[in-house]
Amino acid sequence: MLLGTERCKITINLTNGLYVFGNKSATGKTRLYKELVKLKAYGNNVAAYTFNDKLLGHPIEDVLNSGAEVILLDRYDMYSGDGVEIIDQIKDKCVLLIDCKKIPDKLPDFEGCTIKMTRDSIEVS
Amino acid sequence: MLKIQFDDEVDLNTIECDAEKVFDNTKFVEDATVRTLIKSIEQGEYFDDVVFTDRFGHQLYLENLSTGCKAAIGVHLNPDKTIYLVECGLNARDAIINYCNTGSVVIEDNAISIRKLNDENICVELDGYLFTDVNRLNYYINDERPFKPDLERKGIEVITYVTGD
Repeated sequence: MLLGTERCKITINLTNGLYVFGNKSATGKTRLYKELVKLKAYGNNVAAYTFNDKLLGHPIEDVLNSGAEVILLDRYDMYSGDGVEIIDQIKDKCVLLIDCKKIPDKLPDFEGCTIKMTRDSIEVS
Repeated sequence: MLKIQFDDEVDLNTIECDAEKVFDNTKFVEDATVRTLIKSIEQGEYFDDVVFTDRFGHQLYLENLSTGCKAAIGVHLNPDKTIYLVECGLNARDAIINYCNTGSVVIEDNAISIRKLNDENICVELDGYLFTDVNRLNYYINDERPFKPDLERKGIEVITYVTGD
């Protein structure tokens, strides 16, 4: 799946399912979050959520139930366990990406994924 | 000395869990450790107290540092705070343990050894012991804890606190 803008091309080389990023900092996950928020505003069928959204009172359920093809939960360790029932329900209907270093017990089975960032692109595979 | 505790032995309600918030409320003071942390975690360079140069040569505001790097700088610049490193990737955790000589952190005992990033001694306290070597710290965590460590092995000593009258 190809997304993005002229400034930053985004490639999602994954089939529908639940994926957790590798346990490494500074790989580009939060940049991907920001790009997805921007793409959603531009009308793309994607969604992204982070801890500050929770602090602002935005329910994670709204993002998980949005019907988006690609959903990213950034900084999930800070709201670990939220929305797991819905995650289990939707995980085969979209590409659901989670930034999470400590895996919550309740999280459904998932696969690992990697992120590769260049100056003008992000690729998740 | 950097104090380490494990998250299953600490009341997480009493410590700083939001590393981004800690960083945002930290007065930024540049020093060699800050430079090393940015280089190690971001593969970037410190520029000034407002921006850094990322791995692609772009100057970005410090708010664009990764959460792991913000946590590391937060640990270094807030020696009075105990910070939970739950959002830190292994590279950020290892950089903190290798390069931070002050502060207090809580980490997960995930059985993944800490990488030794240079030949310098570390200065880490765990369970009342001072560790000066990463490999000795790994051996204690993975093979000795919770039993008494072998104090004859290099890289560990008992910390003795002297109290005054």
